Amino acid sequence: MNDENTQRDPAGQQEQQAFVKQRAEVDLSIEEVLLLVFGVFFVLYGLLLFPVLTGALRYSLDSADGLFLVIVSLQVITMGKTPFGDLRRSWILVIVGIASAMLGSLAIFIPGSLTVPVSILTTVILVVGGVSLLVQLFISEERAKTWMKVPGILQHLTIACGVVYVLEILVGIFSLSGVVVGNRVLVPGNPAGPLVAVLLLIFGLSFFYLTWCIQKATRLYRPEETKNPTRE
Amino acid sequence: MTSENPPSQAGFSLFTEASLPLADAFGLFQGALLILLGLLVYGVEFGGIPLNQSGQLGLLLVLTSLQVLAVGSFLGRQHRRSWWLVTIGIAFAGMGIVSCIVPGILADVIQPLLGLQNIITGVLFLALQLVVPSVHGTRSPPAEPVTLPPLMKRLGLTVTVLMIVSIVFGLNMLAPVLLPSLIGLVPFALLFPVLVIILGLLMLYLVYINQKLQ
Repeated sequence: MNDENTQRDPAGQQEQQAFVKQRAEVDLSIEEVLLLVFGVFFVLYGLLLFPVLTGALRYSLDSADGLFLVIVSLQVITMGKTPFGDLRRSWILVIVGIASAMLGSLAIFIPGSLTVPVSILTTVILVVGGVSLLVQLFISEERAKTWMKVPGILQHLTIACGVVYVLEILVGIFSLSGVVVGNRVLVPGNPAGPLVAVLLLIFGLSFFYLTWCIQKATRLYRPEETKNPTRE
Repeated sequence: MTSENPPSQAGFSLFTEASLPLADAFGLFQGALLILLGLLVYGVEFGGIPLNQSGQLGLLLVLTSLQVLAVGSFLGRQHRRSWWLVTIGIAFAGMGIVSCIVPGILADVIQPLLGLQNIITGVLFLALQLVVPSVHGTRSPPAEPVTLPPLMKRLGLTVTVLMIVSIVFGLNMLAPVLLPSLIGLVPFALLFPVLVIILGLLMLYLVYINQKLQ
């Protein structure tokens, strides 16, 4: 019946084709792309830790920290979103972003050369960034205070942001313990190891939830009506 | 310092808002990264620095995947970001991340993948942007000759050189896989840092031209 209708109505057919084309196009902003990559990163990190903890695989903490730093830096370079909140993307911020990305890249390329500074930077980004974003989420009039009044996706968005920020702080505390005790948590036989792996896995999944909320909220509300929340 | 602040009108300053489109922001980072990588590889060859090859390949693949996911740039063309393209991007990102976290298990897969990707990107770009328009122009020449502004000519030339270097880089990445002896390994070791530094410089120059064109 549909075919018959579209044959009779070429304008309707064009409209339908345009609709199908629009549906096929994935409307992902750079912010959502980077959040997805963060999700993939932490889910894989969590999953890989299980064989690492049994001793079946060896892993590189420097490379993992370095890659995290590179993705965080890409947020700064492309959007001006720092781990501690949104800033105007000035040239000095772009330069700082490139410098931290280079630091992360060096940690990946030459393992062991930058273990301490990169671990400390990662811990600061996670703990201080998580606390800072959590405070901004609940203090700012434009965020949780407004969103929680509107039932639906904005409430989900508040929950997603809160979950990501809290987990970020917890992952940061684990990272801090690694800095303090010299990465002895992720060694085969340590009972805390599987807990860290599960924490990283849940942290990764929370990014997918946040991306879904941001995408849905952006579709529902015009950009000027909704200030997009971000992890960093 | 919020995004609501208007950009300064007093010319270039480090504190003025950076008018960097997404592709240029990626280009800036990738250019700086490739130059750093090239210099480090020289350090490996002459100074004995231990280089994590898996992490290096993994990071390059993650950057490729980000370009696929963010701007739909894949194999020399801008594609509509369909779900299959996003799936490819996520799969590439996943492989790159695994290669960074767990060294050694995916390097043998990623190296030829990056090689093929660079060759196909370069060949397709040159075929679609240079060969097809020139054949079309010979068959149906325009009524009046079109003169391009010098900056546009320079842009075209830089992109063409970039694509040619990409093809050579891709072939070089495949050399140790296709010729797993000294014949493949020696040129790879010698050419890799040179090509990576040239690619990085060309990317930075491209960003510079794009900024001038703005």
